[in-house]
Amino acid sequence: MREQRFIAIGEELLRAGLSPRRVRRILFELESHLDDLVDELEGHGASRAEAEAEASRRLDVEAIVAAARERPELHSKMRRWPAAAFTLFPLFVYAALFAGGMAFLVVALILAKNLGFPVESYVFVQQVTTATIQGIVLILPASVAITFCIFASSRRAPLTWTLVGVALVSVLGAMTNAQLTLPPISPKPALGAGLTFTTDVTSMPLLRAGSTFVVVTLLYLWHTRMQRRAA
Amino acid sequence: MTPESSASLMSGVSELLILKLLATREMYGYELARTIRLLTADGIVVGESVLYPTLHLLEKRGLIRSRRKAVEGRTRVYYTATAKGKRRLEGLTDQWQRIFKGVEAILAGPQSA
Repeated sequence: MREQRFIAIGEELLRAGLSPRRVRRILFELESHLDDLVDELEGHGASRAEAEAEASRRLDVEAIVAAARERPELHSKMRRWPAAAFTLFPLFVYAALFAGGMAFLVVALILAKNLGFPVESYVFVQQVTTATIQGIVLILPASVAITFCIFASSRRAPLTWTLVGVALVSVLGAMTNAQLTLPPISPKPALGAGLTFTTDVTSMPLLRAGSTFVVVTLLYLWHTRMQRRAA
Repeated sequence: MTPESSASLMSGVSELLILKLLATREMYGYELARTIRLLTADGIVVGESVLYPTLHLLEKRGLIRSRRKAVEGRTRVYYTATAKGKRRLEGLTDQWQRIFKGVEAILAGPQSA
């Protein structure tokens, strides 16, 4: 009974805009407060059941949630600066992971070469490298968007803003391309990466962006529905 | 007095009382609420809806700090005032004394302006 009530309070506080960390802390303190109140009431002669019932009655959940809602300083950064949190943050994470993935690949190849592995004479290495880059280009946008959705969902972020973030990552991901060419296919190792947008060929990027957006959005909607049912 | 202005005044009073008690010694939420109730002879009752948001706000502003501490098998969040909190307390105390004197002067004096 008490556990269910605290789950409900936690849900309300998350919806009010508080971060999960702060909500956990408030719930911990409220539970401790309730235990202390029960002890005090028992000390005044009430039975355990009476003390529990009275303490629970005194806990004004609506006032606690209203107080949390009215104090923007207590709200999570995502709620206080939604435009930055839902546009700049996911785009920055995507760009950083993309650049990091490419840098990791290059460093791995250089290290392999320095350790005496004949990188240049293996077509197999070229194929693995290309497959890895294609994997980064195709899977990374969806992975970042899903991670971002999990993050937004844990903070009960508004649906519209979350979808804006997913759309931006999907579009940026669809515009990104990268190639790493190694000998013997090219005379020298060459890494190329960038953003491409052309009005001549729009179908493929649109298809990529659209499929990422649709898949991630459907998963997110299903997850939030399950979350609401559980609450 | 409108409920909003009353709430705002009470919020200021809670901040002052909490800072004053935490400047004296480390306390946890329930202990603070009970101490305020006892010291004011039930005159001021700080409910959880005021207490915990105020404590979190004060901590966010760097006026108090918290730590989890286990005492007699019970783990609680204990708060204490920081140096910044003590300076803020001095300011709030001056402000409150001015308000108190002003209100007292009006209540004690003649009603006509």
